[in-house]
Amino acid sequence: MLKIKELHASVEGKEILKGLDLEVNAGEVHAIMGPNGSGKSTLGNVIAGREGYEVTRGEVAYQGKNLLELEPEERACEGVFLAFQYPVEIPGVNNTYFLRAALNAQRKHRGEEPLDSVGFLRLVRERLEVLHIGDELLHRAVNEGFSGGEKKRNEIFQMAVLEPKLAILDETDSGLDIDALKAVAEGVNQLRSPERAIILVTHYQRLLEYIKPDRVHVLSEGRIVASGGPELALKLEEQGYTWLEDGGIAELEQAAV
Amino acid sequence: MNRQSSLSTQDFLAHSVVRSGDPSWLNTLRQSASDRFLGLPGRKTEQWKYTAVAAQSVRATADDADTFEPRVPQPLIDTDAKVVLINGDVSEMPGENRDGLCVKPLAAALQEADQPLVDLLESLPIDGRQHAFSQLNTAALGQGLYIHVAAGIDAGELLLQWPCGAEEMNHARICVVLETGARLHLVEQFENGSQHPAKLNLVEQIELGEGAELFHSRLQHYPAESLLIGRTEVRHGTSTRYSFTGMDLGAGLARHDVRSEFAGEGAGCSLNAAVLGSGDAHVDYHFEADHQAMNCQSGQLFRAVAGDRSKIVFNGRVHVAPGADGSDSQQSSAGLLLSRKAEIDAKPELEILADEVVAAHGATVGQLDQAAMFYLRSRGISEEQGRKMLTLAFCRSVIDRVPHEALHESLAMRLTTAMDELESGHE
Repeated sequence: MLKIKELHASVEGKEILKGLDLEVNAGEVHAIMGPNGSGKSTLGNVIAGREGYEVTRGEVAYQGKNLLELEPEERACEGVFLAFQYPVEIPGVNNTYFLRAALNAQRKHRGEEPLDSVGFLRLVRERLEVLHIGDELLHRAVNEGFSGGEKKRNEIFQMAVLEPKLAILDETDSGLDIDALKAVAEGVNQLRSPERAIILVTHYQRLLEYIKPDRVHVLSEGRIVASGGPELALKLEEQGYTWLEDGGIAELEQAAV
Repeated sequence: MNRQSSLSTQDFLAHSVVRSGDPSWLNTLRQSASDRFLGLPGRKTEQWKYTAVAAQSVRATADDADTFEPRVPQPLIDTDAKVVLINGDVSEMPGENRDGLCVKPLAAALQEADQPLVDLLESLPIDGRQHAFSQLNTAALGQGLYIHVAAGIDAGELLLQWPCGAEEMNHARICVVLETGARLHLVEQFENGSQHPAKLNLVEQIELGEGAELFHSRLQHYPAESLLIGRTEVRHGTSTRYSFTGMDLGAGLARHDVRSEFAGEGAGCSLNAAVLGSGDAHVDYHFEADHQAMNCQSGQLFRAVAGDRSKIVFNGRVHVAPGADGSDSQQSSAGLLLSRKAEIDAKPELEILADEVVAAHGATVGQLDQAAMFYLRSRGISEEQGRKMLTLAFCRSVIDRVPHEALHESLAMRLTTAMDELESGHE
């Protein structure tokens, strides 16, 4: 589904990603872990197409297409979804209205009829129920005045309604208390499916106790330095990220073999 | 071909303002206004600094000027209480007035000359060059409406439609009197059913008796190259409320002066406007809350979206007289520049001469929030649609003040449609 080769990307002239390789197949959940500044969020933003993230080298193929050529909205319409680390507050735009506009834009792209408000509301209620979210989020402006937990839940809720093929969750666990974390994890688990690929970008191993990844990658200084199964995350948690710089990478690579 | 014609004194005062057969008090009023006219305001007149009409040429299309056939646009709201004023003159009246609501052509009311109406007309301050248009308006006094709501009556909505398009400037006067505890929602539609430019000079005088409440909603969507000068003066009795909500989507030049004067204690006003500037439009709002009495509350909310080569001006004045303790005034103005060639000038003006007062104001001018835009796009919404959503959201706080649901919806829709008509889109 997603093939990233030798990806180099800069922000404000500073190179953050320095030759990143990653391959994710449909049905898989991958976790990308790494210390602050390793390039985790940059990866998500490059895939989603945020302005200011300049790809200087390498390629990103998504379902056989060159993803980097597409506008952000085209990527979304093709099934790419980024759950933001910091969801944006948009006063004056109703959450339901926004989500329906988004869904209908994507449906239009796929050549489907737009959902009317009745059909849309039915879908929304279904998803809310599955995710155990109350409907109070619907009546408010997009993320405006939401608590940290509500914002993250709103991201998962959007994901559940939009049903992307490739979802990237950018530190969706950060700033959440244990209840909110469980709720978010449950939401993600509900969305696991053989047609969908999910990338969890996270700093901590904690989230992975609730969402079992198929693969774990360690990102350091803009490159994936090690890949392995869930046990790799535990090892990392045990040793801490400083250990990476102290020659741990070689050890990890050995362990992963 | 369009012909350039500047506004000049000759346009207005070529003929004698005295009309034989009219009551002498009326002719005296006209003559005295005419005598005070010294010419149109230019850049040196502070209140007209950003809208120097004297220096501005206002184009009139010569070709079809004489063949203007007024086409009345679709009414903004569905109501049987509707008045159509073509070129400022009453052409269609409601078949039957609701109980307690009296609407009549000003010409008829002037002949009857009820004392409250005469007092109201004579009370309008028209000194100095800043009131040049009011001087002209008074000199030409005759067209317009007299609206009266009896004590304790809720008269519902009254729609005024203003199709306009004559070669010469039209002058109209609206006098509104709400007796004790009366209530009215005055909805005004400044719009032509055709692309013919309008030229209208309007003065509105509103008198609110104790506890009366007036909602005043105004849509201005005249064609390009139109000229609208509107002055609204509200005199507040004790515990009265006035809520103005304006939305401007068109015109060559539109100027709105809205002033609330608190003569009685415990009164309040809420003055709100949203402007979408397109093409070469120039829209200027002057709000003023004049706190003469104690414990009054005023709010001013202004949202400007300037696209193409438009220019939007906001002047928010608050005056608190000595002794007007317990005054509370809030003001917020924000502007959004959609194009490099557009301009927004916002100026708060606070003159506080009492001690026990709360006065707050804030002003910002910026561009669309790029973070919000990316968020929308990352969900599949196109840049174009996202821009519309964010612009509408930006103006929402103003439109949300409209107390009538259908009108509220229709204004929101008009704004979205007007966004499509921007020439250049986002530059």
